[in-house]
Amino acid sequence: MIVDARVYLGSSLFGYGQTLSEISAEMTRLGIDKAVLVPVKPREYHLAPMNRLVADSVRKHRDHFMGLCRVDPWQRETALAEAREGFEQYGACGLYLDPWEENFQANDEILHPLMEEAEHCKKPVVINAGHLRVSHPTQIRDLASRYPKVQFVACNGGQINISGMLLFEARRMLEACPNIAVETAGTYREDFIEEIMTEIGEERVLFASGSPIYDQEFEMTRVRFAHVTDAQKQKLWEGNALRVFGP
Amino acid sequence: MQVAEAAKACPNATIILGHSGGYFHTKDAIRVAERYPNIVLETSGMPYPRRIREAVERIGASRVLYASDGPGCDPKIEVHKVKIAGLAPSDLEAIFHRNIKMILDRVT
Repeated sequence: MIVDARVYLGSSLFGYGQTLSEISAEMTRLGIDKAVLVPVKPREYHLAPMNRLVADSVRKHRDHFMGLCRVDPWQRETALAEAREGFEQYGACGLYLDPWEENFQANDEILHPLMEEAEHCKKPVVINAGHLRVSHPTQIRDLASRYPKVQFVACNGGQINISGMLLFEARRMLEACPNIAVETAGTYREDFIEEIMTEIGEERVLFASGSPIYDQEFEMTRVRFAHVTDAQKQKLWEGNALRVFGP
Repeated sequence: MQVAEAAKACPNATIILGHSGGYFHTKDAIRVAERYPNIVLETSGMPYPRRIREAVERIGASRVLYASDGPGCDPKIEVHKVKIAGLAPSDLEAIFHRNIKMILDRVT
């Protein structure tokens, strides 16, 4: 089985997007069994309707989709209410935070009520990581260390830096916080994936494409050609995502 | 765009722009390559097959080079990225082989 732990649904304010039909067609073509849907930030700015769209898509196709609830922490009480509703009423399998698109620092105190809610509801928190100013690995580490009972998933391998410089920071983040896992999407240097799996822990890495920002077929290649054992590859493809987000 | 300054200052120099702008600046890289014919875009590391196709469409396959950035990046994955970009066989031949040969043949 293959689970793609991050696939965006909707038409984003920032120009990217895809419909559920397009997602399903690509999953069929590429042999992906399940995807974790993430709401985009739409042109209208409001995330609640996108959360409903994701929830509705999951409800109609439970065998193929799970869904995250996305909030803008700057909306404070409204964001907390939206998260709570997402977890309790709409069956969200986790919380998605995008410091880059919503323009907040990943370790800002405005996140604390949301983290407490995630901890209370035992839901993982997925963070669009690796953006230098707002979601640097050290910032993710700072947040995660304050909430050791919350499972965090740092997107993009925890770092987006083609110089490779942030790879070290991402590794230190993982070493310091056992409650953080990283995704494979857009990871510069495949030996980083292999290194984390073999030296930090084979439960700490999930396959994700970040489609359509990244190319889903190409992102699968990173896992397909990874120099890890078959058992480890299965954890990459499905086991770790199912453990984090539920079956 | 900083590389563009070098290309402008040295129009007879062939400047290979590594990673085609990387994760965040592929659009800029393609734009500067359009403006300066002595800039060549190299495919390694950047994660967007569609931008490779766009570069070929906008500046021509003759100014796009395959590279792996190995051993950090896996050459097998970097080759696959170019192959799934939706390019014609003649473009692939240029990108994988002909272009870099032409550049290196000019070296005296």
